Amino acid sequence: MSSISQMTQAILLLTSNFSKNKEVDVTPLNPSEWGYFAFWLHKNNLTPDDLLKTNFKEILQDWNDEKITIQRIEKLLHRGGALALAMEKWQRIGIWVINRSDSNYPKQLKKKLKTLSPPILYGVGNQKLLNKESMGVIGSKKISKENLIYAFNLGEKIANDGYTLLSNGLLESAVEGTLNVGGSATIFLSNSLLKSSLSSFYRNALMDGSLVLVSSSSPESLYDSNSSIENNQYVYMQSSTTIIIETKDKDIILSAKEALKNKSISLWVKEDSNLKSNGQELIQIGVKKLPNGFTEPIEVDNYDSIASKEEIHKR
Amino acid sequence: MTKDEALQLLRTSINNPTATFHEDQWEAIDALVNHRKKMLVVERTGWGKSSVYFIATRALRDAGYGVTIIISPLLALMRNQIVSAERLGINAVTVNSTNIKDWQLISQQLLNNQVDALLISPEKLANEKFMETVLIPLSNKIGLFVVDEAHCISDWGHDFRPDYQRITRILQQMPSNMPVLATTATANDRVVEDIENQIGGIETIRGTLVRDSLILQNIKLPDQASRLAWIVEHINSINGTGIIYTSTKRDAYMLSTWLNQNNIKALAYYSGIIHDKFEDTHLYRQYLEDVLMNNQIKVLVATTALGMGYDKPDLGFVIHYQLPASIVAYYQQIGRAGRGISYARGILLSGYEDADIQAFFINSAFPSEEHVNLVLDILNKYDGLSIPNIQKHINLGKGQIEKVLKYLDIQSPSPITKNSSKWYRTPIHYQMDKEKIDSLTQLRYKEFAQVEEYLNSRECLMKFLRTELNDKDITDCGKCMNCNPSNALNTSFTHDNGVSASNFLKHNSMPIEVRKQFPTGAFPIYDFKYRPPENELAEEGRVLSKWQDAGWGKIVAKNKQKDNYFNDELVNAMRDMILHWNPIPKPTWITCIPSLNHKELVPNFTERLAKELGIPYIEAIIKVKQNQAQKMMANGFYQCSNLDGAFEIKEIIPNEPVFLIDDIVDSRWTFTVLSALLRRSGTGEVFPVALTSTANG
Repeated sequence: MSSISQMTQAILLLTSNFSKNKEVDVTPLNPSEWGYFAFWLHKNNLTPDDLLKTNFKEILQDWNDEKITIQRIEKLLHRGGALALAMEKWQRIGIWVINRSDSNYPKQLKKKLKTLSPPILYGVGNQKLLNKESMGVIGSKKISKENLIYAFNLGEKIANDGYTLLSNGLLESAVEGTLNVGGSATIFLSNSLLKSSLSSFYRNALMDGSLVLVSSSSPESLYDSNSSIENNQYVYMQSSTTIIIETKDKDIILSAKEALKNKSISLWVKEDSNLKSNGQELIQIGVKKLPNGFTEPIEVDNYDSIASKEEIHKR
Repeated sequence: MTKDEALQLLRTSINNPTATFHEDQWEAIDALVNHRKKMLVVERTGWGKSSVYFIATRALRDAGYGVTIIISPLLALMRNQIVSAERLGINAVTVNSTNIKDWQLISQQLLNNQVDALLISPEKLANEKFMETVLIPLSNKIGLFVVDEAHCISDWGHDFRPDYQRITRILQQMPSNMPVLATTATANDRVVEDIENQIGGIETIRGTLVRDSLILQNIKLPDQASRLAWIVEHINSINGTGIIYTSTKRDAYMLSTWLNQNNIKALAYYSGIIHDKFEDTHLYRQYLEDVLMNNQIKVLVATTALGMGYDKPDLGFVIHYQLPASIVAYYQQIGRAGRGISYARGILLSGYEDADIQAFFINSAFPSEEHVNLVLDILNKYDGLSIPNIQKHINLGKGQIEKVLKYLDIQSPSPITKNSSKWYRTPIHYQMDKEKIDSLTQLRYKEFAQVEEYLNSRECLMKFLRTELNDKDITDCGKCMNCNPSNALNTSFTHDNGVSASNFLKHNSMPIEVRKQFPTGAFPIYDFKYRPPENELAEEGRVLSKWQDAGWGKIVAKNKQKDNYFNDELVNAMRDMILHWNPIPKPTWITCIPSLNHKELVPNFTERLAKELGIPYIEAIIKVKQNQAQKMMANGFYQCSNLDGAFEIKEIIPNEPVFLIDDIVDSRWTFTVLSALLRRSGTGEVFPVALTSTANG
């Protein structure tokens, strides 16, 4: 297995967490800090890999920032041991790393979020799917039986219409619907990429090239609300058109509000008769209501098989 | 750091105010400390590799860098090094299986920046608990990364170790601002090149390997009895203490027994060797290394488990009881002798079993494709399985399964991964690289052929070895049996020693350790507990021979396969073994394990043995179910399930100690199960006895 480029190594050292736990001694640069610093490097005709040279302090002699101090940069750059241990573990099971200048990096994400787009994406599976024309579907973990079927049908329809399904990893039935008819899917994960890449639910699709899991968080990171909101954003930005299925989830409402600030984003909601006020809330902030009959209802005897599969996957 | 500053540190560390650097030592330190380079240093043992990394550690720590990680397979022998590190004010600690309870504390000291160097063994990198509690929390602040015995990185080398594959991949990912030192004493051009290619961006410093004090000699003595006789006759004429290398654990055990019987102090050393007085094998091996180090024995009889880095400057001789696998391995092993003395011997004995043993090792180096696929298929069906659970699904032995997992785990990317105690299938397509396996296998045969060539060589033996190692400035040594025949030891031995060795081989029984735990769920009928009570366990037993071995093994095999009758010679041998063994409490009767296929074979033998021992033979066990042959069952779970309900014990049997006889012992489950059944039916202690063992090792 080949090692990653010096450029990616330098960006990882400056921006990433290498273990499950938050860094104690030094905080990696967040996307906006990184954007700022990278802009300065660029302006001075430098590239991140220049920082791996022994004379990097001379290179940075004109850099001056209160939060991004030279000491902080130095500490981050000297995490080479941690980088190597983590990359060895991740690459061994097939996890790859790309940065913004990589040709497979999601183009819409970079275009719309600019310097706020994630500096590093971790992933597993077919990288080429990242820039396929796609349709987003967002949902939450707890889902009614009715919506479970709906999501499955929607996944199937997206595939049949020739799109790649783009989702946030919570709606397994939509992914199943898509894969079931030979479609492809891109899933943005807000955490736990490593764990998901080992799940038997995704395994065959990852191996036959019809699925890619991608995450801006370190592969072993755990759930936190901020990354969950950001992660939904990535789905909205990359797909342009996204259907929201279940609306009880606060992260979804917050992320939709944020995404709609960008005029080119179009969001649709499938209203759930059981959830009155939240659907309205989404519509009030500018999410469009999905017409009835957008997908055909599924036959009843198929339902049980989906429901029972769903049960299995939850265990 | 300047050269003068480094020189001061060197003088302090070795406690010698006039010491100077050996060739290349300063160059290596300068490259690591001042230029943060990746270096491969190939220098003979004794050159002073540890001075390089401890001086570099001192310099880097003084400049505010983090801890040095030193990965070495031989930690016990680094104790001397830790002392010299202390002279530089370097606080070096080690984390190993004997101090697990201290890991948390050591980890805290490491995080508090109180430790300068951490010494670990390569296999620690595969230990999840160690990685999570010690190394990963620390890894943000590693100042220098040292890999000792780096030739193990190369699978084209003579001593590839799977755990080093992980080190290679970690080194590949080290960014260019991280200094790395890889060291070895034994690497030919092919291995150096392979390491350079694999790690990338590494520079090599290489010195000469010559060892002036060694007198080399080769002796062909085809049968084992002759070699035993020769060793006993000549070993005391060699000055000092030394090592005898054997190819198998069994021979290490056998040879050390033989030497002790002849009043030559010897101990056996191999992987997994245990002793009642020591908590685990690690501690006992450490003890054995010390005993030789302090010259408390004449010889340590060891397999290659007594490996790299064993540094005893006054080691007087290294004898090989069998041919080693390659010239490089041989050079490394004899290179342990004569480091700090002017005269030492390297003697290569060889016999007719050599080629068979090496062929066995070569052919069993990789798991079969069939086994690999079985394991991958079963892992693909589940979300993680532990090894005992894999055993329940497929009929492969634990060892076979572990071999497959170990092999697959070091592939990169790997089709499997371990998380806690479970193995998972990763989403990676995998095809065994049969071409590579074939070429490695061919290479191993070629390397062994070179050893045979060395054995028959008429030219300078040292020159032959150094040529194979691609050493520089090679000239005749003037000392070996070919350069100066008068230096060679006489190859003869007395008739008496020959007869005595031959008798010994025929009286070389081994203990049978019965099982002390049953697999859960394998005995629905007998209902054995996971840990059976003490009074259902068998005592330690004895087995007369190893299948096809040079003592009785060949006769047992022929009697079983061709004659279907164990002859009286075996009855007598077994009687002598039992009399010599004399177990306590003394058994008062004898019984045997019945078979439905060979109804007469074992009972007939047991009846004759009973007469010889003068105790009654009683048929106590009845076979009630025709099960499959036990040898078809590959793992413990299947072996146990196959026995469940297969036997019953007769109602009236003596409540006294008993010998339990069988012809062949392999997994020991049959003995374990029947001993438990006999004890439940009210007998006294049960002593298992078998004619031959087909178990590995």
